[in-house]
Amino acid sequence: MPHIHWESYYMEILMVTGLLAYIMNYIIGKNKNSRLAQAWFNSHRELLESNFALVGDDGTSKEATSTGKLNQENEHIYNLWCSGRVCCEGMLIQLKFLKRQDLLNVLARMMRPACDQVQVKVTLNDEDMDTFVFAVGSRKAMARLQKEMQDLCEFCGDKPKSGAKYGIPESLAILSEMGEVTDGVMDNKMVHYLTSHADKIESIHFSDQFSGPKVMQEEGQPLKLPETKKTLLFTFNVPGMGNTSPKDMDSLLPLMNMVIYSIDKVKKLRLNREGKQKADKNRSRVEDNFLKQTHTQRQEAAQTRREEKKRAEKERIMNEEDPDRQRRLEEAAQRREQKKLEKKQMKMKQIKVKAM
Amino acid sequence: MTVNNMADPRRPNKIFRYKPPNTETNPTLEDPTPDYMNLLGMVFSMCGLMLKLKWCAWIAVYCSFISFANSRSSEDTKQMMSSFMLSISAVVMSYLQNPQPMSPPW
Repeated sequence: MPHIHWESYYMEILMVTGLLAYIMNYIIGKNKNSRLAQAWFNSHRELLESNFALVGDDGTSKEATSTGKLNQENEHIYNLWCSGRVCCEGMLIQLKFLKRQDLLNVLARMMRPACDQVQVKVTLNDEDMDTFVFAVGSRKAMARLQKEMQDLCEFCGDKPKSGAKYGIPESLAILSEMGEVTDGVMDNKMVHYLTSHADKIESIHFSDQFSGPKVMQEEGQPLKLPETKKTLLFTFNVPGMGNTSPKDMDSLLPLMNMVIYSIDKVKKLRLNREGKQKADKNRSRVEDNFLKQTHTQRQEAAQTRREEKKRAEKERIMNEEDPDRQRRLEEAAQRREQKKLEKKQMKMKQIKVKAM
Repeated sequence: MTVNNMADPRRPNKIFRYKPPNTETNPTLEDPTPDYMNLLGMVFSMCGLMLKLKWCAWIAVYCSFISFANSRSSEDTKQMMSSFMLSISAVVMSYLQNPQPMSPPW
């Protein structure tokens, strides 16, 4: 048997070494994320269990009982659903860790550092929140959200403003539907939270018109107003810029306190008469703009629907075997057409009379 | 005894069940990486098998590993396994047909 020169297979050895390194990183990375998730839950468990009747649900069990644990979406995203509290429908917490289990991502992050994030989405019932749109967060996040988010784009048209007059650091900026809302949200406690934890706050977004990011509509599709839900959305940055240890999870606890405080606060925050009028005007303005934009599309859609109906009816008449029935159906269709024409003529006459 | 003026905010009668977000209505929520890597892995596997290119087959193995690392827990392991097996077989076949070491691209 010929002697195998293993040295000449150095590329193959390199490949296998690379794969082994990938596998090792996978195991280490996934374990780290899992430990971070567990540490977060351990430090927040007491606060959540004292505020929510249901802590942890995967939606599959028949009975609504707390699972008492996080749902694992994949090796870097964990979520927790809490429900059963006054002033809100429920709260979805997503722990969005870095993809430590993917060596490619680890290498990419050496060029572009990123941090783990915790995203909290509180969904509210109609009576839990008045009508307003507000956001505060890092300047970069505010600029981005104003472009990306449907409601911030429509209701908070002005550039993100500094909150210095309320006492919050210059690193944070505010997007608000009206001054009264900012005054209402920025009470002493809120300002204290924002100031002490400004470095960990990416964005805070309160909205009665929340529908997520702007969705690209395909051409020719009849547009429907996006469905909205009263929502409070918080995005927090975990300190450490990726070099996080389980202990760092404790530093996020005050932020969860802020979330709970915000839920109760939003319930009590009511606009005065002037503010409410302004808010209603804004909402009907947005709706009118939307209707105007889609007017032609909706007209076209209605026209196609009418033509479809007529065609279907004609086909039915053609397919009718009995000649007598066919004649009768045709006559009925003709009578309907005649009636419609007469109605239209009446309407035109009425409009003419009104115009005079 | 101090009066606890913080009433219990929990309401067991106001419980809503968890509903996983519908990714059909909002495709931006889903990470496309595992699907792209899966597809890429299959393409490289086929190239490696048909064109007898060893480096294609090795890249296919890497792609299927990356796809696995990024995949969602709810995803079917069968597809992961099949793309992985395909890439491994591409490597094995390339070496069975031509046991010579791979030459570096430079």
